[in-house]
Amino acid sequence: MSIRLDRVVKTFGDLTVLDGFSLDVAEEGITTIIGPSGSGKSTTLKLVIGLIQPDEGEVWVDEVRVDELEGDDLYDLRRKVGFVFQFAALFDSMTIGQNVAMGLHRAGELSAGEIEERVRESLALVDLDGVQEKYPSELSGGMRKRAGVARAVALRPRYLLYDEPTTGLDPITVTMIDRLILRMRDELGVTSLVITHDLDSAYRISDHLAMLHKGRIRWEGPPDDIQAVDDPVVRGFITGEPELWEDAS
Amino acid sequence: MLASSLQAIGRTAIRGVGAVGQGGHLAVGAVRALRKVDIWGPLFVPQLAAVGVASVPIALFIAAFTGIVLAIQASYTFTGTVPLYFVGALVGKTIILELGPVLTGLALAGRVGANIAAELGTMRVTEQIDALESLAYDPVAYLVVPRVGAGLVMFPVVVGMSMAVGIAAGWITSLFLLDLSTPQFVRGLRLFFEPYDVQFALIKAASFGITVTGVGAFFGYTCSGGAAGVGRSTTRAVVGASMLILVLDAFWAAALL
Repeated sequence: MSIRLDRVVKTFGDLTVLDGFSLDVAEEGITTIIGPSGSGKSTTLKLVIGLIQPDEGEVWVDEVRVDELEGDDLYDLRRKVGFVFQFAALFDSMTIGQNVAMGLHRAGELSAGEIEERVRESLALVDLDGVQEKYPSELSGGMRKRAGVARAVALRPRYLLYDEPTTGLDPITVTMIDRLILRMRDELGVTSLVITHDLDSAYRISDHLAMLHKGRIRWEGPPDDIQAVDDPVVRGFITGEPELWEDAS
Repeated sequence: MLASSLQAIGRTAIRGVGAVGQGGHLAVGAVRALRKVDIWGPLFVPQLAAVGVASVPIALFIAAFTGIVLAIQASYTFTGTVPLYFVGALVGKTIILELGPVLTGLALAGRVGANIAAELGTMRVTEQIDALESLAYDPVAYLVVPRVGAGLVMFPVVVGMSMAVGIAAGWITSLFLLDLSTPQFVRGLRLFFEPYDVQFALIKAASFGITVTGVGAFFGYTCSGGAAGVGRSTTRAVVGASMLILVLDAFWAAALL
């Protein structure tokens, strides 16, 4: 069993963001959720690690029901799930090395020397050798994102959640991040759930693609199949035609 | 007109009740997080320095000038009616019972409360608090407990130093500006001195420490709305903590004197 969301409903005030949302994430693959801004993509990721709770429905990671976990049980689960934040969310008062080591210190499974080695390995994995002593403010946007990935993979999690990993980056850096996401799958065997509205990136990295619309999955399947979909909502979104999208919506 | 006014009052009341609920939830979380010493323990000493040691210069500056002004004003008031050695009594009693704790508390509401609210608020809006949670840290244990604990410990220390410096400043002012001798000043100082007054002042200071750091942490931790939200939270932290200090001041006077 991997990550599963079953008939999830989530509202914020009067706004229903997820409305009966269901999704199964395949083991050791990359599942990408696409959809317009404000469609509930980030909410989905935060539900998976229990940062927010659903109003209805179930959220499962492995055999554990996340929405029923509390306290230390929830923190234990989070050690299995790495989270890459949209703007990296690095701790700006710490060096990159200290950022990457944070989760390792908390887990308490490695000695100081082993933590140092793991930090070096994790940074090398994202091609960021030699930046341990730098602060986040000294790195470019793309480097900060990669440092965020290094922090997320340092604990060698089973799952990686990526929140808009390529937003705001130049095309070269976007390609580097895409390759990095693929490398995490291929070298570490992690199961990834990515949310993005960068369609080119989604086509490149995904094993499975799902489109979120009005709080539910509107379409899902292999990325190669999406071009042949007749649904005007899906077509309007992937071709970027507002008229088609608005009429169908 | 009436309907819109009632709606506005209703919205404010709902927001107020919501904030009290959130504050209570955070306070309960902080008490529960006390057992997570492995998280907050290593951060406690740095927070003692940030909350307490770094506040000493501004606290002593305020205390020194308060002592000087009190001595001069007492002399001005007493001349011709009350023996001048009462200057020592007024300086000592006023600084220990009231001005030492309250002025220091208000100054630190600006320095410490604003700092905590801005720091935690920025961490909230840049998802650093979410990142802490994703790395299996209890953010209340990591961010709130060491700061409030440092406030509880260090405010009495800083207030104690302020009281000493304030009285010393009053004494030096009496010597050089008021033609009062040291024995006269000390005679006045001892006239109404009660050791309990110091105990009372330190209890007040400890409560101000929890208030300033707790209110700052609350508004920072629950911040939303980007840079503008951080600004709002910081302002609310300073205003809220200052008002609570004055309310607590009255409460302790009624309860303990």
